[in-house]
Amino acid sequence: MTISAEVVVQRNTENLLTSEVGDEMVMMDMDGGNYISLNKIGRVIWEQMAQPIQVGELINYLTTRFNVDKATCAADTIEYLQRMLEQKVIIIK
Amino acid sequence: MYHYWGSGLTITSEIEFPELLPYEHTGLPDLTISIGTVPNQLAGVATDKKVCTASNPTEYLLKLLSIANYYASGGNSIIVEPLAAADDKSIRLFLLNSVMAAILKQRDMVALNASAIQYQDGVILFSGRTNVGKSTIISQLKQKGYGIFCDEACILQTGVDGQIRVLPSYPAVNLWADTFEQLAEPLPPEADKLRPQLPKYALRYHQDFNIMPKPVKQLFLLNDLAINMPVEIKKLSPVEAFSEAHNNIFYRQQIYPMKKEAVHFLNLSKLTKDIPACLITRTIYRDTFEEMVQVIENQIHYNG
Repeated sequence: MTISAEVVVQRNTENLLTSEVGDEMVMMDMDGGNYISLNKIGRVIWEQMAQPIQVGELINYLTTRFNVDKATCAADTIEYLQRMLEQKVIIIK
Repeated sequence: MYHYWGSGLTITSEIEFPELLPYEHTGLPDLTISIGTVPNQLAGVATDKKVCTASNPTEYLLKLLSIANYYASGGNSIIVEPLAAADDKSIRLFLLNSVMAAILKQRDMVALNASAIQYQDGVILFSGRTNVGKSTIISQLKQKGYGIFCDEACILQTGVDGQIRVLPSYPAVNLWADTFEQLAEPLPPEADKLRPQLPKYALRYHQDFNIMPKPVKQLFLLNDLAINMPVEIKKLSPVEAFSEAHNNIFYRQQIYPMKKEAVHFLNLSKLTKDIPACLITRTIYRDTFEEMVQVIENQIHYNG
């Protein structure tokens, strides 16, 4: 599946342990035993997904929060979310 | 019967352990060590089975040719079956290492390969793989006036306040013969060898052994490389410290068959989230311990 601005994403809380570690987060996929870390921006993205959120809405939030141009923010966010999807940290609703 | 404290546990043992702290305790001990016949296989289904070991979340079987068979179960029992011609020291050494590591995991306790010194109201940990130099570092720091808290392993414990503290394993620093030369200390007697054929000695410090849990003030991860280089120190982010610490879990390979990933994840992330942590890398091609100790002392004082 592919991330785009129109899809709605949410946290994959099944079998995922999370822990705040400084400004970042570390997660463990209980199924595969893999560890994933989220940097500061990843953590902001994760916090915005407390409820399911449309990717476009997330991009708008990040553009304002970090005062960056929308095109760059959209490309970076979609790429980041795609990796989170592949690592089963998030799912598409 | 003998009564001890070791690795956070009260222990009653049929075997005498000079390594452990004699400790009279009331009520049932946390751990009982007895001599007997070890089962040939686990009572339950094995989640991991190798030539010498078998394990599942509540059982661990270790069979060491010419030494002993060990069976650790329920987090509260070790049965030891000494084999013919085995020496007592070897029997005890393996029990205090991989078998004790299994018991701790069965009890959901997390242990790190770490030595530690006392500092302010807490401790400073030095964590790294076996033979990276943890014991030598704390011995050199002891010569500079620091008190030793533990060698070999420390056990993480979450207090009622939710903060992580650490407990020591047992009151001995284990050093190779050539380290005594480096320290300009006399070689201990043959009787203090860890195993008869091994040039490694136990320096015991029962009088100064402190079993109270202590907060961790700083964490140093130690590494060595086959590159000619000066000693390097690098500050670690909490996530980097978590990753390095995770690589140095005491008998890490036991986590997965014993299904203890979650408890290790949660405790290590609590440990590494707030404390200053550094990675120190040295070359294997020359003795750099004096240099390392200098770098460490500078960092200790920098962090306050």
